[in-house]
Amino acid sequence: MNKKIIAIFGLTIVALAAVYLYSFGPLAGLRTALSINPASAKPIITSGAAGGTVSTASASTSAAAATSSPFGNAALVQEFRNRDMAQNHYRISIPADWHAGSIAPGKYAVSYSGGSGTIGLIDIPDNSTPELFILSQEEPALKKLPGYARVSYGSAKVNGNLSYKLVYKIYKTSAGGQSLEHERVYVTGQDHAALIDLSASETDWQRAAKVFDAVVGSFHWDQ
Amino acid sequence: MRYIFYAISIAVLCFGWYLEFIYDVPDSQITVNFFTGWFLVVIGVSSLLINLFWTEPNRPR
Repeated sequence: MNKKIIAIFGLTIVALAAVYLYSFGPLAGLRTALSINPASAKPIITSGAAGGTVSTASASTSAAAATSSPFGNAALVQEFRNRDMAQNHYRISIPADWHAGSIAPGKYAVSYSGGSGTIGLIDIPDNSTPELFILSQEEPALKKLPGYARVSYGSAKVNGNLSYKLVYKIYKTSAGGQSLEHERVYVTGQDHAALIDLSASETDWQRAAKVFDAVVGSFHWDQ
Repeated sequence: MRYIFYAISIAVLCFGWYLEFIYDVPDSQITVNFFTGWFLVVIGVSSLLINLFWTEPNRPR
């Protein structure tokens, strides 16, 4: 074995050690490029309802339907323009009296009187489809929640993007045994999909659903 | 025999490259994919170089 081979062998060992350190070791922190863009966390307050529509076979809900209610006031909206992930820039408008904050790259937690939710991105593997992913992975996980019951499921278009909406109930033990109703909307996108998950108590659901549909209708992918 | 090693080395290198730069990795597997992709690239490159620089000893006939 000549010296060149020994040198290549040695360099290979060093390179593999570096790969290990960057993957699992103390240098792994240098590799995580994703971070919350400061511009994503600052909402733009505008007056008037947000544009956009959610079209289904039976109905069309515009954001203007979001009238003043315990779940939001349509007179003022705050628009978030998320710029955290290169292939998945998006914007969404929520009522101005909702509280929202970035909790992870591409993801917001929202809260309002009567409920809470999340707006963010979700990775759907290339070897799956959104519908298969929802029905084979997401819903089975949700079924483990106490009192899970599906209310409805279907597809629609959100501003031209195919989306899937799953509405379900769970039994919330901390709310005096009250049932909590959730709306989960998956909007397909270029790399990741968007997931908008909003909840309200079952008794308030009729009022809340109109506002939730308006929020979903304001979702746009940006280039 | 040497060409078989070349072919295997290039295949390993290309697969590592594919994993690292083309394959859409689920968020939960990014770290494992990063390690596996670069591991294969390093092994592929080094085995190619070893093949290139390998010299047969001169044996008396």
